[in-house]
Amino acid sequence: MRPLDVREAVPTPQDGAGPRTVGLGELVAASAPTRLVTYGLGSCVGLCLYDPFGKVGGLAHVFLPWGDRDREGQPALYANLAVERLVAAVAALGGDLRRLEAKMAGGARLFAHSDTLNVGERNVEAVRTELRRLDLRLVGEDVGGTRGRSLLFDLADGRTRVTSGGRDVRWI
Amino acid sequence: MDATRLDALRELATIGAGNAARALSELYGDRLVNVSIPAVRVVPLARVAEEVGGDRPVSAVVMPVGGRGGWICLIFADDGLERLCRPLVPGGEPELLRSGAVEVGNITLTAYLDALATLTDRPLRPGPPEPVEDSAASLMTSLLAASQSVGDVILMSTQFELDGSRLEGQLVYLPVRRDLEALLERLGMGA
Repeated sequence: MRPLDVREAVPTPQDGAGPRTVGLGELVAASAPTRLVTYGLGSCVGLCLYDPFGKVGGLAHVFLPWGDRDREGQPALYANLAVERLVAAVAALGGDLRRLEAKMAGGARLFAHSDTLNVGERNVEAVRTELRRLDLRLVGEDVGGTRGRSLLFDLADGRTRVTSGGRDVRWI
Repeated sequence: MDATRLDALRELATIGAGNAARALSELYGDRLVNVSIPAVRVVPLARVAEEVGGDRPVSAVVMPVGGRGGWICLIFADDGLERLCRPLVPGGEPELLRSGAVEVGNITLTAYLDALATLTDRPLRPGPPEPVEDSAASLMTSLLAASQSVGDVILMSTQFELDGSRLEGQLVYLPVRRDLEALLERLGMGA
């Protein structure tokens, strides 16, 4: 395993009781009792990592399967870079890499005809590949299909709530 | 992007929106179509999901532009698109409503693109339209992912109302940077 990039491993401030929003291409590491939320997981993939003993974890909103050009403030745009950076960010907050559990949601295909690249499916595969490469255990997932999702990740207990169309609720 | 260039794009969007409104009015006979002044915004990619309305459910018709990653879409809150099409489909069969929605989107969006293309003498070829129901955020991030665009997002959006304010919609054009630069070039506003 290559050395971890810790540039993004910055502790997050607690901002009141509301969940902290993770934007497209962003990643945030935090500890209990923070809750993290991300919207608009259409073809994008939301990846959660959690250390259940340390109660620290992180959430990344991955946009595309592969890329090599970075954009400032968006370390999670590409799956091939995002997963390792999320691990580094969680480790910097004291997360134990051997205990990390991964969950992911997203990777849908909203446009049956126009999305010829099928970005969603490729995003899911790229995240899986990275999880395997980094020896991370995937303990839950809600991926594929044709509907977009939102994800709420509670660092207090690692529970992850996935909503689709603002209605269907699923815990992974 | 400076204020002058944004103004030029707003002008362009105004004319496009006027054309689209006329097309909608013809489709709906005497129902009143109101169009507001278009907004042209530069939104950081990371903030797009929240900016467009997060989890708010929308119904839309999306259409690729030029085959190079640009998109244009007609978006309504909730099931607005279906409500819009109901007068055109008396029986209300789901399949017919769906194809009706595609047709309404096709006519409106093509009218918008035609105006832009005529004004700037630049072809903006419309692709096949497709209906989508999802959250505003998922719709927009998926469009951006399909065009593999990672820069700031230029949103050219126009609000309109049908039948007073009973049906509010939005027409959003997400041009690829190359098309955008070419449009500005034609307007004498090249970089």
